[in-house]
Amino acid sequence: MSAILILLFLVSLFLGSVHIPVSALFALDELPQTEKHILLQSRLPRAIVAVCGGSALALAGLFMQTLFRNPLAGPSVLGLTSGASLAVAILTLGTSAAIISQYQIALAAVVGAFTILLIILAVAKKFFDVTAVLIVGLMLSFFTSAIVSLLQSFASANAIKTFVFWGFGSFAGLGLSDLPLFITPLILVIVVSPFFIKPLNALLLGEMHAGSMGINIKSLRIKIMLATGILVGVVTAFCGPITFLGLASPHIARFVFKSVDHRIILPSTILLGGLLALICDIISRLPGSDYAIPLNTVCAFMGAPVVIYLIVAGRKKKFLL
Amino acid sequence: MTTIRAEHISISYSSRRGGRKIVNDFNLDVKKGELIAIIGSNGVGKSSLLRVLSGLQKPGSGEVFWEGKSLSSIPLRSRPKYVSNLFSNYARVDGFSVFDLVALGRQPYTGMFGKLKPEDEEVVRVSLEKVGMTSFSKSPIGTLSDGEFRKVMLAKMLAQNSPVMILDEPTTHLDLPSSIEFLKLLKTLARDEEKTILLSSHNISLIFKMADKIVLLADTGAHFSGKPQEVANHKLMCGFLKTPDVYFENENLIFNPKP
Repeated sequence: MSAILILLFLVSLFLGSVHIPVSALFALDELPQTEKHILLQSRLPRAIVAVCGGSALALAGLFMQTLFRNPLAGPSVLGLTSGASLAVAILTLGTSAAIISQYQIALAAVVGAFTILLIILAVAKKFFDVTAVLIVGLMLSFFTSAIVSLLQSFASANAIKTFVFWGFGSFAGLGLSDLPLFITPLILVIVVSPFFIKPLNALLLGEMHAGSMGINIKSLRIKIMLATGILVGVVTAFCGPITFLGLASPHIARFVFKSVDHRIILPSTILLGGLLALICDIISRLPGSDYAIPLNTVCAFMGAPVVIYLIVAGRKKKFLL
Repeated sequence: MTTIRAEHISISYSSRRGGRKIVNDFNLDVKKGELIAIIGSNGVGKSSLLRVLSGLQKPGSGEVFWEGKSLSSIPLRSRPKYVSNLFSNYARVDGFSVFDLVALGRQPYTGMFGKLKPEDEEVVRVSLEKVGMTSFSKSPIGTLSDGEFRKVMLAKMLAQNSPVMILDEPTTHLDLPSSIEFLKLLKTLARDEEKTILLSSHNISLIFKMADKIVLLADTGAHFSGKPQEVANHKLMCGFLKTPDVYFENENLIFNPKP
């Protein structure tokens, strides 16, 4: 799988409306200035963002599915994505600022996601029951979308356009120098994620069982939600609300590796997330044409049928969560 | 030797209409290798009591001791090496193979990422053998019957290698042959391996024949514990059975309707 990932990474680098030969990789200095700029400042960061963002969302999806023991849980389930959307909507639709920079949007998204996360954590602290947390998350997302519609009905056409474009989702737009800000928090969470393997496996048999295995459930739940919040918040901030990758990747990993054991599923979900994000990004650029389609359109077109197939096929073979 | 001791335990739940005390001033002294059954009507607090004794729930008052040490002084992390649990409601994850599920019992002994050493794998194999499920080793959990699943969970507890095993209603939903088989397995473990076993059950007829000691919880918060004959002839038993028309045959250890 790593090999496919590297291959796709290269494809992503050398595919686009400006043709750059693969051989340029070995002779970067001989490349004309424009091509070099496109390769290093546009395509390279885009591919890196896609891989890291996809991996992050996939890991967040796996965390949520195991924590809630619900195959339909995804990063958006806690209401984090909608919290980010609301904050971005308030910024783009609610203010009269003429020019809104990408960093302002990113900051708004992080603030929005973490505000919702704090509410959810407070609920999680008060109730022992995961279903309560799940329902509060869902209701919060309904509530925030209502406010977003309200804002939209009063906003100018231009402001709505900015907001809608953010909602399309995209891995582009980050330059090489902006990358550390995006990558560092994600890599940090991904690196510590193997420490969750044991408690996540114990959680598969229920919270009571995990408790009997010497795990402090409340503290584990808070750690997992915090990790998810960081992953989803950062990705949503820079790439917009990306659908399906987080939900689908863990299912595909379970299906491919015929296991629910996190020793296998956790690393493979991370790899698969990066891989799927690259594929979706490449398709969204419509190789060979001068047009592009929104990333979320591709994700939904590919993700929805895949998840349906996996659930139907997986139920028969008894290999799902 | 005392393995688990409960001193003056009381358990109560608060509700909007005021607190409800379900277990009051409960005392128990469990010896190594004993098979002890807790009986009582629904809602008297059997499961809560088992959770308190397992250290998964704090009692309203009183203290639990494991091997003479106060439970509060034993860190969470080392508890699974001493007590293993079977709960009545489990999330059944169909995708797990029987072997992997039993291997979860080795978690307290494995390293940070849960990698099994050859000796861990050997313990899993032996545990599966003890419950007679070796041939199912590779089957996914989704293909097992309730009785088979219960035995796999028992193997998981054995893999945990704890001297004390606490089981909440291990025979519910099991048919008679499976119930008998399961209780016999427990009895063998108590006798041959000196496992201390605490369980709750509604299967009165089987329990009175199999258990070394019975704890009867009454819905008044009162309790009585002793040998099956002592409990059967105790006045609290009439309240539990809610009928005076039953008598206990001391020689055969069974309840019969009065002629």
